[in-house]
Amino acid sequence: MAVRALEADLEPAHPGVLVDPDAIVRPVLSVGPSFKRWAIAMAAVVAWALFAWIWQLWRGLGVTGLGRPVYWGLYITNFVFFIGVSHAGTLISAILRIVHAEWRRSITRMAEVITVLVLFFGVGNILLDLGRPDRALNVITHPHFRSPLLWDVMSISVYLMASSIYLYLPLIPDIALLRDRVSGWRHGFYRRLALGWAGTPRQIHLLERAIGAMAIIVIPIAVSVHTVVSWVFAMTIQPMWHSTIFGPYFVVGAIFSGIAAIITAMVIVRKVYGLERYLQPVHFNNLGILLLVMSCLWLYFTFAEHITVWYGQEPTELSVFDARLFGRFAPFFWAMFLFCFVVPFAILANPRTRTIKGTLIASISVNLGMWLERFTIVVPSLSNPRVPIHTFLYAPSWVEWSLMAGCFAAFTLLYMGFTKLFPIISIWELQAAEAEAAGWMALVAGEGDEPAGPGANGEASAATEPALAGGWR
Amino acid sequence: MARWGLVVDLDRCTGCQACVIACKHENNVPFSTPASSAAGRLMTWIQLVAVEMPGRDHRVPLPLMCQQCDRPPCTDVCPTSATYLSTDGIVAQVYARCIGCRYCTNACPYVVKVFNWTPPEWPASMQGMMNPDVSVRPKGVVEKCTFCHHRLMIARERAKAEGRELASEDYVPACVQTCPAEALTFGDLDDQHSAVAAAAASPRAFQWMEELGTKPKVIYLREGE
Amino acid sequence: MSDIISRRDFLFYGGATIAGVTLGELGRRQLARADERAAAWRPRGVETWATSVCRECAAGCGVRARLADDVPVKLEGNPLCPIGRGRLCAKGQAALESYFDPDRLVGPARQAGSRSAPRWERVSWDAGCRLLASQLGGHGADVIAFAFDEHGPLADAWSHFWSSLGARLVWTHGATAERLTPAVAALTGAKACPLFDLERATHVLSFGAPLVEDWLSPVWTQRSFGRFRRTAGRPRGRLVQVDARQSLTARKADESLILSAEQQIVLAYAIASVLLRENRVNRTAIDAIGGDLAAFENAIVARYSPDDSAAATGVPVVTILRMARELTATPQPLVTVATDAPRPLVDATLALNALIGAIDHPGGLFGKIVNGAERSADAATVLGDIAAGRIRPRVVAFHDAAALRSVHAPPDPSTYLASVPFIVSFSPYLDESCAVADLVLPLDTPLESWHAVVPAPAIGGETIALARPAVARRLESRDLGSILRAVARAVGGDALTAFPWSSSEGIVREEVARLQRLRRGGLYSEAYEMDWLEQLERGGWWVGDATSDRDFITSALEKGGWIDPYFEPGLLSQSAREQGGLNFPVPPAIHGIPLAAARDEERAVGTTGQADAPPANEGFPLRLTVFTPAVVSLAGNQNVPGLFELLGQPEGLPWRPWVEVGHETAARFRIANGETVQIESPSGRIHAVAVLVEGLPEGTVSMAFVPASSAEARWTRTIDADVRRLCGADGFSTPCHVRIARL
Repeated sequence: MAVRALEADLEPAHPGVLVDPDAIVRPVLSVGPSFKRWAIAMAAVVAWALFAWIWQLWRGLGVTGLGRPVYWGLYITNFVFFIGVSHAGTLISAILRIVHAEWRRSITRMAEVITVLVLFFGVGNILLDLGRPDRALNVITHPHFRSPLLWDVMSISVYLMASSIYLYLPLIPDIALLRDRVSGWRHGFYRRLALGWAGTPRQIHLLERAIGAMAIIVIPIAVSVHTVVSWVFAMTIQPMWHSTIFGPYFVVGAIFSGIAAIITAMVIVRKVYGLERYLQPVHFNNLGILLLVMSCLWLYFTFAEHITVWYGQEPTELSVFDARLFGRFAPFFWAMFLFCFVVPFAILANPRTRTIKGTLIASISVNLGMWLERFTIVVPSLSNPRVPIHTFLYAPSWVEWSLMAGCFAAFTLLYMGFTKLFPIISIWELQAAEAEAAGWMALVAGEGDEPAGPGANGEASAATEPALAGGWR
Repeated sequence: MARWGLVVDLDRCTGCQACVIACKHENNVPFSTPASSAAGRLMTWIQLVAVEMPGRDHRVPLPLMCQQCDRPPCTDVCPTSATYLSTDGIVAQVYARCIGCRYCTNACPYVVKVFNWTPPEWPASMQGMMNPDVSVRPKGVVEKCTFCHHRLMIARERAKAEGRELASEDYVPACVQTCPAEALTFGDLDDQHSAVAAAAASPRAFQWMEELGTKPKVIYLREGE
Repeated sequence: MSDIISRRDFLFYGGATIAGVTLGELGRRQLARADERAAAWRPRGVETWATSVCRECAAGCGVRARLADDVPVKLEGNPLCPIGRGRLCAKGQAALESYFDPDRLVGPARQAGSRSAPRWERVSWDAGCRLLASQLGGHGADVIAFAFDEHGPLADAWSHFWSSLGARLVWTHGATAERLTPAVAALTGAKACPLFDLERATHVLSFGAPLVEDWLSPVWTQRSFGRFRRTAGRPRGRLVQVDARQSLTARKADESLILSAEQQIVLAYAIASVLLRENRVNRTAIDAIGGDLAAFENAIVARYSPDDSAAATGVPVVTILRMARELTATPQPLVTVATDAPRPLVDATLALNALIGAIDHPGGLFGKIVNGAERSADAATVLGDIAAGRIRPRVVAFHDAAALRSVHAPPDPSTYLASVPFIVSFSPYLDESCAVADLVLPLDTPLESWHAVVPAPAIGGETIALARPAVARRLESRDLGSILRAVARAVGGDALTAFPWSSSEGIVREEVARLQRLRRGGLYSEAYEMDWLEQLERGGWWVGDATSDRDFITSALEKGGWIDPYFEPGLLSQSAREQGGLNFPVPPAIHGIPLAAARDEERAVGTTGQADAPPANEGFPLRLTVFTPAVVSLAGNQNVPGLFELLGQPEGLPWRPWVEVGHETAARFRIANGETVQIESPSGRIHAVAVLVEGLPEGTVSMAFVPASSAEARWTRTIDADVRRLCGADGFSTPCHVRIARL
């Protein structure tokens, strides 16, 4: 029995899957009709958003639905949302790397790409929100270090750099692999990016050292980023922004929406690029559990945030509280509650529904819910100022919606583009795991189970082998 | 250095809004339209708001302008130092440096900073109406009450030209100058002999939202005995 | 000769059809050219100040215009002016925008089409004046000339001109105390304008007087209110406001009661009856003047018993008693009244002032004789007569749009003035009067004008505001004197001999020369100098401005006016004594108020049963109270964006007329705050924003009156909810009932 338990424990995350680099590389080098259709569609949305943006630059922010006192709206909501989603990658992959979760190997890259790309849109939304984007560099030429917005600029820049490096380092061996397989412009492109990678043990050692170091460095940076984003609000004395738990609350929300974003991306990539071999139910199951935990944590923070306000009955805070829970913003608030907790909890708490489809539904729900959460943080506080001035019901204009759609479309487009330049799954890491597993298998060889066949029937294998769920090592 | 302050006697204030128009003309603040004012884009550096006051049955009109805090929440958060507490104690806004992030507008608990959502527009016939002492703000920047700071600059120059010290009486913002009910008193709060210091010492004096620790230099005198 | 359209404009508008050029369009086309000249950038720097007079209402406050390179950039009060004392109200400040009004008429124009299908042609001044003269010739008796009620040499010239033609002069009264003159005459026999010494009063009971809004001379009243509230060394003045709605004054008051006009009359008499009953009247003061107090006592004490009055007004008996006692427990009480209050209410409040000894008492009620002809004809009544076909004038002249803008005037002048063959407007703005005119002869705007105005009466001596044009003409407008002279010359005969002045400048200079010869008073000067002057005059001394004629004129026009500060109180009591004592009013029968004692009387004479008749307002359950926001400009230009931004503040409803609804009424009709609602009466319907207010009795709504302009001026045309559309043929003189529904 002991042996079998050990065996189960040591089971590699990708039992018996022989890593087939060709299968992963093939979609990188070929462009199908479906890809083109999507790319054109997304490019059209981006083009429309560009038009909207030029319109806004020309006419000023008057083309938005903003006004006094609702000075911030959709753009800042999107900024917080995108920065939140950016925690998908780096933080999660770094944590999983540090704890040596074997099942992470096939998903880390997918997640890290989300981080890097989405950060641009987070920053981009700030630029969209500026009245004078032409003067954006004033934050560098005339910095004022007491401004949380400047802290944001700094931490996001550092995060962007760190996560770019953290994305790039594990890419090097795969770029080298591609370099060796292609010719033409791609060869030159990969050759430059591969930095002379030859896969020597010294190089491997250095790379692993560097990745390990980055994984540790990137965690505090990531935490700081979302903490500082929350401080943009919490450092003011505005009702229901001025909260001590906003830092951890935003970090939890960020990880929450980040995981949801990864799951959503994984399902799509898996389906589109036929990577069912590498993205197996176990991944969705594990991430689903993680999402469930975060959902509960989110509920805890949300509850703590609101119960204190309600119990305190401080009038200015209460006016925002009432507007959020029972007033104009109640539909958004309760939809958020439904999407962030009720739906994911109902699906993910039950192992039977914690399937790929189930986690996908839960993830989309969480992403919607977290966007609504950002909205219900930004807008109600501004709509209920302390002074009794005339307020209005903020409704985003077509320009704002267009630019939001443009951000999502541009993100999709860039993500698609990335998959056509680099393998979306870390080939060398899977190979390393295989090698490692082979070593272990050799150790415990004998009466070991026959590995499950490679292939399309991943869901069935998850159902028949529940032991795979425990991938933590 | 003088500590310029404004005392608003709510008992005297009639809510006639002469100050509002005086400010608008003095500072080249653009007009709104019915649509823009409904959308919350009314440009005004001073406006009348109805405030609940202890001991009053009805919400009373109160002229609200930048409170010129000694500890302004808006200046801390500005990422480019475009808004700062000047040496005159006036919360200044450098229009040429403002990037229009509107963080200061959101940080201000009095919501007295306004943003130029659109390029400022006047009918062609009104171009000549602009006060040459005050710059017209471009679209995309935040603006606010400056206590008619340009009047201070001019008064200072005039005093210098006349070879004397600046007297408190040399400098009066446009709102104070026009107030028909004589409800506004302006001057140096640190000058113990000034009318404004005497008014500020009234037992009726209060600073709005003083509990927030903003230390405004606009002091209201509540109604009633 | 007419230059319909210049070659350049023709090229510019080449593709467009020229037929149906509206007045606004005509103005804008011409203006576009004028602005090109102005827009040429030049460095601004030379700052100058010029004296002028505010003409936005009858108060005549002194103005100092700040000019940057001869272009006005800001208006301030003239510190030497005894009325404004360096201050200006919102309307006065906004007058600067009138000068720059983009829709100002560029010059004289005539209607070449019809009023329904307008086609405007520019005409020369000469042609315009001759056209008017040809219409006037021989029809003097069929001419009506409307003007805003102002006094002074220029207004006299206006009336002189029309009287010499035999035309009828009609005046539109502002919120000045002149409307109260008949009631003062009835009580004291003095044909005097009442002056309320608000500044020195210690306790004010106000019946609907909008003290903090627009009452009498606004800046003067506002300052008085401020000093009434707070003056060092004096207790704070206490204000009790009885009003038809929760007005700004009611909100500023220490105590406010919301009552209908009829109930206010009952309350006023009830307080009087308590004063008499409890023997709290100031007998010393009354005995000094005389009057049949006993008869008055008999007339009201039984009729307005506290219980009956409480039942009729809903004001608790204890409150009525307390209000009466408070009035007499203060050294300087004063009772004020709205200038447009119904006559019985004015009578009652003046009687109250007599009972508490406020007549000719500091902080009380004074009187001042207003020079000039009787000006009782009210514009709204005359317009109503025209609308009803009772009078059929051949020519109507509008000096300004005040008559058409009055709350009592019938709405939509284009329909009821259609029967008038010829209408001329002298207004410089694209306003209501131009919209109905066949000929426009635009006057200079106040900043471009000569001024010689007698300010609306206020406590203090005799004042005349004087000024020369502060700025050069921006457009091809003319001064009143020149226009009237040109028309008189074209008419010829008596008209020409009756109008000897060649221009407004001549009229003003003649007036200044007259003042110099008066050998009393002096030019506007610092307050302490004026006190000195008054002391000297009291002592029988006169210190003339010992300068040459020329210097005197220059100085007068620069300082902004002439004043004889000597003011002797006592006119009212003296006049009353001469007529044998105060003539207390006879309490009226009040429509719709169930006073028990009054009912008994009626029953005795057999007039019962009327109260039980079914109300005529079937289906229209709400009584409408109409009020005019302070920013509505009667005399001046309404096309001023600055004022529309102030409309409805501090409730945060700029630019829109609003309807005030009590919380109970709102709940009954399911109306939310800020919602657009439809208000409908048997006569019409309008839309307005609903504002939920405290204190408005159930069954009552109150609506802001902002005159809707059918003209095309760019800002006024956005205001279209004119509450006058709801009233019947007789205006708001009878209660108007409405129903209200959300859209």
